[in-house]
Amino acid sequence: MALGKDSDPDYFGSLRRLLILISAGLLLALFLVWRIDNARVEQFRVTLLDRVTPGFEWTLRPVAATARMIADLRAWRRVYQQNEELRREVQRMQGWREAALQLEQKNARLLALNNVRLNPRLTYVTAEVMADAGSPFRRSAMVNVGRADGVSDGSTVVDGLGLVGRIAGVGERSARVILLTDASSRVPGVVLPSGQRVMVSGDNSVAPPLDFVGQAEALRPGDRVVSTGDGGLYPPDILIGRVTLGADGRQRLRPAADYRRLDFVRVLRRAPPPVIEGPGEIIGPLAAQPDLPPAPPEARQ
Amino acid sequence: MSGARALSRPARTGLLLLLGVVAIHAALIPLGPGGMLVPPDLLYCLVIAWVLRAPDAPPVWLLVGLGLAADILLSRPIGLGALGLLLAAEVAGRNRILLRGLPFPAEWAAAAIGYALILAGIYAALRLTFAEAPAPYDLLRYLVATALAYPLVALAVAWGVRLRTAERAHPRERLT
Repeated sequence: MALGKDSDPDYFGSLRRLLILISAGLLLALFLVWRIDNARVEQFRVTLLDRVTPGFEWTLRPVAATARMIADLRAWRRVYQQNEELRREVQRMQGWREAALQLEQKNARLLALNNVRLNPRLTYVTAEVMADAGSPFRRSAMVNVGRADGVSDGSTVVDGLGLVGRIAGVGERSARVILLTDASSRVPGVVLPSGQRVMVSGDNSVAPPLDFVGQAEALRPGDRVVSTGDGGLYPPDILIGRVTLGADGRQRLRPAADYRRLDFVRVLRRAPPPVIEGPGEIIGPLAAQPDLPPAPPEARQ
Repeated sequence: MSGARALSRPARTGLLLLLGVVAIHAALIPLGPGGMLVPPDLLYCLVIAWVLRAPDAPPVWLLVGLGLAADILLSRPIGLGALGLLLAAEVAGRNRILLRGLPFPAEWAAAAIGYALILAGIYAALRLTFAEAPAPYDLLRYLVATALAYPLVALAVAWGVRLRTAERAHPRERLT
């Protein structure tokens, strides 16, 4: 077909068809490469995002800020009501503050008595959320810290209150956060009053379901879920959220992190605890077997 | 063929490239990461609305480049989105005269059906290769968001960009 140009010979059309065929084949091959060597292609994706996103940041931020301002404007209408609510909340919180102070002092006394050494390596860096995932295939966000800030793959991300997710893909100056709600996110947790171990498995919905629940009847809506630290990826005792009952009757988790206002997050920089392998040098050199022949030269290298 | 006020072919290519980058970039704005909002696929809307209105089809390299950039930057499965975009643009381009002869709601429905087919294809490819596929409900929301965005993008392309002179000047291009 001459596509509106009557004078064109048809071989332009067939050339275009050939080009499209070749491109389609290449794109299909690219998809297969993505499936076969996912880690490397994803790293390439992060590197590209790392290059591109900071250049666009100056346009992303004002638009996001404007959208937030509009959302806040809507909240003005019920400002009186909110004021009342806040006043009541402050009263309640003052009670909690007293309790927390007393507990803190008690805790400090007990720690001093026990001579506990806390892990000093848990530091954090605060990051700003730069970009959204942009499609429903992933629940993720880009943050503006990267390898240069000591962030590594698997670093835990929290907001002021609860767990947000983990880092998957680090560039030099940016990193991608896989949110708790993403389909590839699994967080081992424990439900606090009952002590039930659960797995918070994201499924791209707003409230991820709880899997591997031992006694489902022991869980009640409103129970707190904190991380256990099993598997070594997430540090223990970070609040993940509260148990809630989904519309489908499944027990789900309402994340404690406020995903609607995710503008600043903390990325925990955590050195993994040293793994002790073998007896080390404490017991003495392994020279107790003098009969062994000398090691071949390649083994020493 | 085109009148004095319509854009030339290189200018059209450049403008489509620029608008495509803007469309990809708009989806990246962090309005509510992890929230309920699903951004529409503006690039698809733009390309289809453009192809139906421009006097000739955009170059293949441009469609492949924009599609790949969107796949990479919007964390979609790499390659499939670009393939879908390319094929949809080609099908739309070949049936342009027919589609332009129909009233706008029919064009709108055709664009939505095209996108539904693309999403179904991506979903099938992901399931066939045992990759994690998003829930069909999420894809449905993506489809709805894209379909809702299509008239706005088409309006912007029709009124904002002078792709050709008034259609009455081309009686031969209407349904023959």
